[in-house]
Amino acid sequence: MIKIKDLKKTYNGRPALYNINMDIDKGEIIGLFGANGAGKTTLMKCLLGFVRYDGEITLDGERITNKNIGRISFATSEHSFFPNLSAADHMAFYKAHFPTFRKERFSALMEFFSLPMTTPLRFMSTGQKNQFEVILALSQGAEYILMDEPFAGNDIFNREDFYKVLLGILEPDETILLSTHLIDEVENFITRAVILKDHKIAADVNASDLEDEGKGLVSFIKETYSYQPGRVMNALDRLNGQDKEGGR
Amino acid sequence: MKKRISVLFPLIRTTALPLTALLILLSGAEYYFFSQKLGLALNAFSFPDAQRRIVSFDELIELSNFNFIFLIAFGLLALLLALSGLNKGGGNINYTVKRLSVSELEVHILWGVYYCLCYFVLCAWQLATIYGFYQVYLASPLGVYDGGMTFFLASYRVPLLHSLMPLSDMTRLICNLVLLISLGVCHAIFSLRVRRGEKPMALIVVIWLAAFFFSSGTASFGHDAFLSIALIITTLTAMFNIWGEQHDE
Repeated sequence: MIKIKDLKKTYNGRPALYNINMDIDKGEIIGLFGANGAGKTTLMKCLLGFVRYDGEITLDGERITNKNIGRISFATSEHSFFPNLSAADHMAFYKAHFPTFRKERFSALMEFFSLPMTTPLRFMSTGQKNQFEVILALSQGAEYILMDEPFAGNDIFNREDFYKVLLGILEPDETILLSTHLIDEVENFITRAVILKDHKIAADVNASDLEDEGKGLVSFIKETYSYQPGRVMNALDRLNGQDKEGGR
Repeated sequence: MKKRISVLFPLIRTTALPLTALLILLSGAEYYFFSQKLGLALNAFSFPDAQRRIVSFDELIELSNFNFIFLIAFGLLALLLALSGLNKGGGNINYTVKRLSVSELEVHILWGVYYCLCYFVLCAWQLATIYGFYQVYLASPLGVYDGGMTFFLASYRVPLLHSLMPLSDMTRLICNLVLLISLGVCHAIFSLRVRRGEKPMALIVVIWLAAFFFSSGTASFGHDAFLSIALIITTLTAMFNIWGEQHDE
C-alpha cells in the first residue's frame, strides 16, 4: 500500500499541494481529477520522488528510494523514454533494470498497436509515442502504475482501444493512478475518484458509492467544484450587452 | 554490474556510429592533405643534387594542417556528444533515469566516463593515424634518410603530436588527464543542466580552453599549469552547482 501523510509541496513559495492524506491500496483503479494547476502532476511527481516535498510517502511502510521505486511505473504525456532508442532497445534496457519486466505483455501490446520495434522513438507520431509510453509503464512489471494524461494527443478510437486493453490485461494486484481530463471516458472503469481542488483533496469517493447514489462522475466533479452551469450564459449576456451599449 | 553498464547503452547507441564516421573522416581528410604534401616533397626530392630538398616528417605534418583538421574533428565530437546528451525529439529522460535502481549520480558518472572515453578514442585515433602516415613516409624514398627515430623527434617539434604523445613531459600528461576528465564531467553535467532548463556554461568554457590550448609545444609548464587550474576550477564549479543543491524535475 502507498500511504501519503500530510503531504505539502510549494514551488517558490506558492502552494502546489496542501495537506494531502491518502492511501492507495493494491488493485485499485483510481481516477485523479481536477482543474489545470490543481496539483495532479505534482502529486505523481511527489510519489516518484521527482520533487522535494514535506510530509511522508511510504510504500508498504518504507520510504520510496532507488531500492523500491521499481515497484512503481510512470507514463506521462511529457514522455520519459529515450528518443534515440527503438522499442527493442527499450525492452532490453527495461529488462536489465526491472527484473519484473513483462516481455510477453510488451510484445503483445506492441503488436496490438502495430508499433514498429526497430524505429527510433523520435521518428514516431505523438499518438504512437503516447502508446509506447503507456506500453512501457504497463510492461515494467510494477505493482503501482501512475499515468499522467497518458492519452493526450490520441484520437477517441485509440483511447477506447486502450481502455479495453487496460481492463483486459490488468491483474488483481496491479494498481492504477490515472490523471486525466477525459472524465466521461474513464468513469466506467475506475474504482475510485480523487478530486483535487485548490491544491487539496476536495473529494475521495468510491465509484460504487456514486453509482448507488445515482450520480454521474462528471456531475459529481462539477458539484465538487461548485460549477455554475449558467456562468457561460451570464458572461455571454454581459458581453453582448456591452457590445450593444458600445454600438450606440 | 549489468545494470550499471546498461545505462551506457542509450549513449553508445546514439554516438557509436557517428563517432566511427567522424574518425574515418578525420583520417580521410588528413590522408588527402598528407598525400598531396608528400607528393610535393617527393617532387622536391627528385630534383638534381643542388636543388634537392629533403622534407622531414614533422615538416610534412605541419604542412598538412593536421592541427586544424584535428580541431574541426574535436569540435564535431563535442557537438555530437552534446546533442546525444540532449536527447532531442523526446521528453524528459530524467523521469526514467530517476526511476532506476542505479542512482542518478552513478548514471551521470558513468556517462561522464563514456564521454571521457570518446575524447580519448579521438586522440588515440589521431595518434595512430599520424603513426600510419609515418610508416608511409618511411616507405617512401624520403624514408631512406630517416633513422627510425623521427616519429619520436617529431613529438618534440610538432605541438599537436607533443600533446597527443607527451612522452616524458609529465606536466602535459597530467594536463591531458585533467582535460579528459573535465570534458567527460562537463558533458555529463551539460545534459543534466539543459534538461533542467539551466545554462550549460561549464562545457562551453572547457571546450574553448581545450580547442585553444590543447596543442602547444614542449617546455610550456606555465601554459600547462594555467590550463589545468582553469579546467579544475571550471569543472568543480559546475559540479558544485549541479549537485550542491537538490533540484525538482
